[in-house]
Amino acid sequence: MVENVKAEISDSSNRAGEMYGWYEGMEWNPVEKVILERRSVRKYKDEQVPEKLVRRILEAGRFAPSAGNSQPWRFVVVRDGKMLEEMERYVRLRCRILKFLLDWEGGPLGRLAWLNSQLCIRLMPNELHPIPYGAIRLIAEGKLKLFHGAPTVILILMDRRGVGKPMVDVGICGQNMVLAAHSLGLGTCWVGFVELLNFGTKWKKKLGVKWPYRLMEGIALGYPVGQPDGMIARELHEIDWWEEGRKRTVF
Amino acid sequence: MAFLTLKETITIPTYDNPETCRAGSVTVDREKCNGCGNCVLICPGACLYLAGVGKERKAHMVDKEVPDCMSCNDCAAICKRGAIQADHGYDFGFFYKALHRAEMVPPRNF
Repeated sequence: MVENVKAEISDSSNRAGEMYGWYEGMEWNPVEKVILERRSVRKYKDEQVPEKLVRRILEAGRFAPSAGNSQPWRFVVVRDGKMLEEMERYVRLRCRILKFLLDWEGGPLGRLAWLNSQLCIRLMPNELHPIPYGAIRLIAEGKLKLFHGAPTVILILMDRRGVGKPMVDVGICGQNMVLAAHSLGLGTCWVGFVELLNFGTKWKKKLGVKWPYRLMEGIALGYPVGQPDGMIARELHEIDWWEEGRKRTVF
Repeated sequence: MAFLTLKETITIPTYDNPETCRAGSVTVDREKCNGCGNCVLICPGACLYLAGVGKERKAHMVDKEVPDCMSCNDCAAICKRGAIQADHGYDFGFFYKALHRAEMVPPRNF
């Protein structure tokens, strides 16, 4: 009897980290580990990522699920250091302009900037959320880098004629690539501010961003400095749970 | 029950008023911190800095009323000594009030 229990325990501990199965309290399997330990990496080594490795990551994006199998994405890979620097400068200038127009704290427009920001925040509540608003200020002041010195950037263009909600599909596709990249030992960071490259013709022309495409997101790729990955604490979210005709709240 | 009132829905918070908004914040354990500076390097909000000389060289949080901290906990992940930890999520109030949230907890393997 005791031996049986022992055998079961050793059997279950052997199964720890195994895929395609579950028992209560089991250790994280490799996929969960990759998901939970992925952190946004904001400091990269100068070392370039091998071309074949980037190609492999792009394959993970190609096989992402999308509404009606519409695959509303197009990838642009930029591995040219000079070009990345120019893009960064371009975005920083746009951030300076935005800061000039919207920063009510120390800007030259003063009260006018405050009125302007009240209007703009109501028109674009997501883009001008306090967090990106702070990031605009940091990028304008040069305290935050756009690509964090990553040697490779994957730009994701969205086909605006996609089925249903192409924005969601683009996000799913990007996350596929981010998780694949992490599992292959790379660091990644989503760079939403590449959207500012849409303001003006220079980069739209160079990157081929025209109807029906829109430049949505960028993913910075590279070898991280140090060990930035690890599990951390996050807020619990309240979950409504309906079962047997009653509602419970779980966290 | 968490919900937005009409007044909250139509009021845009002033992002820099510490009375109405709560930015993220981190606590540095001075005993454990050895001043390696990794967290300062990667902080996306430029919220951390190193101060002190020799053994007293420690990470500190910037002394701003509303820092740009977004409780991403990247500093906690890169710190090998477990010396830094975010205390709570950010909440800017009014239109951006955080709803249906609770305390910060590491991943649980049910």
